[in-house]
Amino acid sequence: MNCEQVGEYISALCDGERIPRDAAEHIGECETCREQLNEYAAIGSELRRLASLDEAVSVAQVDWKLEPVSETGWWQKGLTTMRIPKLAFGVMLIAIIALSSGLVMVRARAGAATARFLELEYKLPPTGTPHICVMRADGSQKDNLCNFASHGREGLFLMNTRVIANSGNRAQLGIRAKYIPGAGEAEVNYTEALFKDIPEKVLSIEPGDKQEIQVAGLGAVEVEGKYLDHIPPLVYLPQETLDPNPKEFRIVAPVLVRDNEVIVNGGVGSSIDSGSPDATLMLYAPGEGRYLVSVIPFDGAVEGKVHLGQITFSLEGHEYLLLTSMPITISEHVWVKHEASFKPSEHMTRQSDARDDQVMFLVRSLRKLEQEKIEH
Amino acid sequence: MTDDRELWDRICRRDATALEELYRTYGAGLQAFLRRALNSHQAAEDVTQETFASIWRHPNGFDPARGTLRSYLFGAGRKRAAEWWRQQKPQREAEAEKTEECKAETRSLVGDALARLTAEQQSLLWLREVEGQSYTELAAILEIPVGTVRSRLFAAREALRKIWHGEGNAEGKV
Repeated sequence: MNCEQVGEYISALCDGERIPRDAAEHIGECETCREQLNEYAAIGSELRRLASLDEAVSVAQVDWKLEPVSETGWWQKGLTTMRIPKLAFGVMLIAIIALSSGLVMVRARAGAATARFLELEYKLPPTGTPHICVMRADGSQKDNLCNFASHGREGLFLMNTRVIANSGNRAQLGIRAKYIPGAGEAEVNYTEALFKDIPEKVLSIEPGDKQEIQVAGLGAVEVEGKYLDHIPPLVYLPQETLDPNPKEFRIVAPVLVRDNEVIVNGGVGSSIDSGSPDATLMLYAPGEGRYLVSVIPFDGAVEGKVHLGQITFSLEGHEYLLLTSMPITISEHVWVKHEASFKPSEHMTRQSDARDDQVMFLVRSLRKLEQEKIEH
Repeated sequence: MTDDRELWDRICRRDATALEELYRTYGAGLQAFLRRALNSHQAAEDVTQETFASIWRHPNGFDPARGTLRSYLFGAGRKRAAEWWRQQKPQREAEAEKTEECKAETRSLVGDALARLTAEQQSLLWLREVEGQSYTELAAILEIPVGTVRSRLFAAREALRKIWHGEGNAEGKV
C-alpha cells in the first residue's frame, strides 16, 4: 500500500478503529504517514482544548417545569411538513395516477354494467315449441324490440314485443301477437306495418315468472323472462357461442364482395345448419342468380378458403369475398358454385321465398337445395 | 447516566427532572457544538434551548433501537441549526462579520481553520474529537452510512490539516 491508499486508515486509527494489517505495517514504516497521524492527533487535541474554553461558559439554567407542555392535535399534525425521498414521491405519484385511472375503468365498467338485456322465451301451443327473443331492457329505446314469425303447419304466428318500461327487475312489456290459420306458407314482410292492426297487450314480468298471453285461434302462449348482462351473438339463439361447434355451418348477416364491389347484402338475419354433412348456403340476389357454398365438394364447384367469418374464392375470373358477422365453420375449405340463371320463383315452394326481386339466403343440405323444387 | 430508555420514558411521562438530567448531561456539549455550527454564542444558546424545549413539548421520534439518546439529541440540534441557517439567508451578508467576531472570541488558530471547513466537516470533527461520538452515533446524527463517516472524517481532517499548513481552503459553508 502507498501513502495515498492508507490516508483514510490513518484517520480511522486516530479514532481508535481497527485497520487492515498491511495498512498498519505501512504506517509503522512510513515517516510521512506517522507524521500525518501525529498531526491528526494534534488537531484533535487542539479542538478539545478549544471546546474546553467554550465549556467555561455554562449553559443557561432553565426550569423545565415552567415550560408549557402542548398536546399536538391531529389537525396540527396534519399541518406540519415532512421530508420524503424523491424516489418515494415519484412512486407515490405513479401509484396515484394508476389508481385514479383504475377508478375510471371501474366506473366505466359500472356504467357498462347498467346495460341489461331481457331474454324472453315463448312456448307455442300445442307442442310447446320454444322461441327466444333478446332485447335491451335498461330504459334505452334502442334495440328494445323483438319481432318474430313462426310458420307452423297449420298457420302463421306473428309476435311483436317491446320493453315499455322497467323498474328494478320488473319489466313492462307491450306485446302484439296474432295467429293466422292456414297461412303457414304466406309471405311475411317483417315490418312494423305487419303489426299495426294488432292490439297491444301489456304484460309485467320478472325473472322466474311464467306468464301467459291468450292468442285468438292458437291458445295460451307461455312467456318466461330472464336478464342477461350481455347481448348474445345471436339474439334468437342466446345459447349460441361465438365459435361454431364441429357440426355447425352458420351464415349470419352475409355480405358478398366481388372485385371490391358489394354485390349482395343479406341484411341482419341468420341461417344455421347444426348437423347436415352436406350443409350448404344458398345466397340469391336479383340479377346475380344464386351462389351455393357447401362444406363438401360437388359438381361444378371451385374450392374456397375459410378463415373465421370470411370465405375467399376465385370464380369466373373474379375474386370473391364472403363476409359474415360470426365465424362460419371449423372447416378450412368450402366449395362454391355460381348459377346465374337461378330464379327463386321457379324453384322455391314457399311463397315468401319465391320472389325474384329480393335478396334471400338460407342454409340447408346440398341435396335439398339441388332439387328442382326446393322445400324447406 | 441513567439508561437512555428509562430516561426517555420519564420524559414522555412529563417528568421534568428527567429533562433536567438530560440537559445537565448534554446541554453544554450541544451548545458548544451548535456554537461551532452557527458561529454565534447567542444563536447556539437559543437553538440549544429550542432543541430541549421541543423535546419536552413533543417527546416523540427517539427510538432506542436506532441509536443513543445523545445522538438523537445532537441530530435534533443539528437539524435546528440547519433550520436556523435557512432563516438567516437574507442576513448572509452579516454572516462573515459574525464569523470574524467568533474568531476574535476564540483566539485560536485551530478555531479559525475549523471555521473555514464546510458545515458538515465542522460537525463531524467536533462531534468526533470533542464529543467522542462513535461512528454509529455520527451516522445517526448526520443521517449517512457508517462507511461514509470514515471517509468523510478523513476528508475533514485532511482539509483542516491543509488549512492549518496554509495549503488550501475548504469549499465553503453548505
